Amino acid sequence: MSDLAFLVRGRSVDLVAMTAFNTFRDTLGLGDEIALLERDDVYVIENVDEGDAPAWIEACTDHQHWFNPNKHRFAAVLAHDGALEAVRTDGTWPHPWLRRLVQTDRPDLVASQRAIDDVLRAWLAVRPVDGHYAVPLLAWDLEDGLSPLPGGHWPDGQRVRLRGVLWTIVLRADSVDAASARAEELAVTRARRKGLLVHPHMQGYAPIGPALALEPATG
Amino acid sequence: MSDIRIGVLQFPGLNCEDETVRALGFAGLTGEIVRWNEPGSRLAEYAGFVVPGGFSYQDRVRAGAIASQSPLVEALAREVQGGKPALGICNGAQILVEAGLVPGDEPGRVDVAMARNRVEGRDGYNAQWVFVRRGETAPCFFTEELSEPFPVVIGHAEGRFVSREPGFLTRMQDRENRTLYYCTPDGDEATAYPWNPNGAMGALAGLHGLDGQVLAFMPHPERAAWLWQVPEDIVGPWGDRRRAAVGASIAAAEGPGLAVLGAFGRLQKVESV
Repeated sequence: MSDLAFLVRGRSVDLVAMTAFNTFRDTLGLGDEIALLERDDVYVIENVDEGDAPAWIEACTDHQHWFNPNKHRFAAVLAHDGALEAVRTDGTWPHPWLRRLVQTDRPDLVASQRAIDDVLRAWLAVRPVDGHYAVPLLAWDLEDGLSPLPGGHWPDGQRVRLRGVLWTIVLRADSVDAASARAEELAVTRARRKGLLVHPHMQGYAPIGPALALEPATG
Repeated sequence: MSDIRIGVLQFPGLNCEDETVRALGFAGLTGEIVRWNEPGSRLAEYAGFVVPGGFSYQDRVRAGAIASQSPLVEALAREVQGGKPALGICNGAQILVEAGLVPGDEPGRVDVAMARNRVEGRDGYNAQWVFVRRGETAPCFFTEELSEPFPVVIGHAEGRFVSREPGFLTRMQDRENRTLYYCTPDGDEATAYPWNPNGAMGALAGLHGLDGQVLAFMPHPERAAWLWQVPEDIVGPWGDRRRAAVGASIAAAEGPGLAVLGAFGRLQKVESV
């Protein structure tokens, strides 16, 4: 059994991410540090038998009001067992989380047997730049993150599900650890002008694995 | 109209600035709109401030989150830390909370969130008349003249005060920060919908910071500044006054929300700077 993560991204400009990015860059003066900010809606369905994954993906793509193929792209990724359980009990998200891309409407992501990190880099559509890292950070509502997803026509209506927002912060840093730490600092609201994307008094958050180095391919 | 000038801060997406200026005028004050891209130094001209309601930056990221980062709010923080009062109404309240001005125990620290409405019987956006009363001992500039529960209108989807800080509500009550709370028409603390319209902890409708100089208030006093704005079917003394009002006199009759805005009338005029 696995957890199925369904990532949804708008086909056009994400105004929320753009406004947040502009705030970082212009209002807070971080234009030299932050290169890009992306946002995906994430829906996770717990304990899916891998053989049943296509039926769940069809339920997500064809029967839910939060996915419209004219507006959105999707990527369905299998995650390791127990991810939601870990979130539920101690607030952390185990690494590695994403394991295997099972379906997407972006053929370029499945053209070869890429490692999941490559798929994630491609999904994020970030250009390789020396000294830059992409830090994916999942945020969810502390109170309704584990409530049943809205919509109907589910193969099984009893599953516990999670919905959240995946922020990906692309920034310049000296190391993987420094990138992760700085991204969390920028994301989590602690004080005025210190943290913007996640409010810890009503949202949980967790990095999805370490920061992804965005080094250009060599040779 | 007095010479006391009140700056009404406007950010893109706020939509109550004109009503707020008019209500301030009805309270005998001079309200002037200050746009988000004006220099913060302009705030020195004003004796006090209102951040009105609406949907700043379309509520992108979170209600109030983007506006709270602006240089104008930074300038507002300097002014209120210098002793000037500021009232945040609805989205304005959310901005003040996101800016760490309320409760503001440590300057700028964000200790509370305005979460989505969630109360048994009602989730999501809610517009309705409610009753509010002041905390018995809350020392707040804006509530000194409030003596009885009063009706006022709300209109928000994210107005529920929440905090993950252990003991936050107790601490707020001990320190008398629970400025205004939702109540029944009889004045008892509202424990359930509809009198507690959003599920706020401690039935909080308003929370103050900085020794009572800054108030984050979710209901809209400017929508209850005139008696004619009060519904005829509302219970209690204000409903009685509304039903008894007849003829042209009602146009000049004060409503229950006016006392909140009228508190600015106790200020001194700021001399030219």
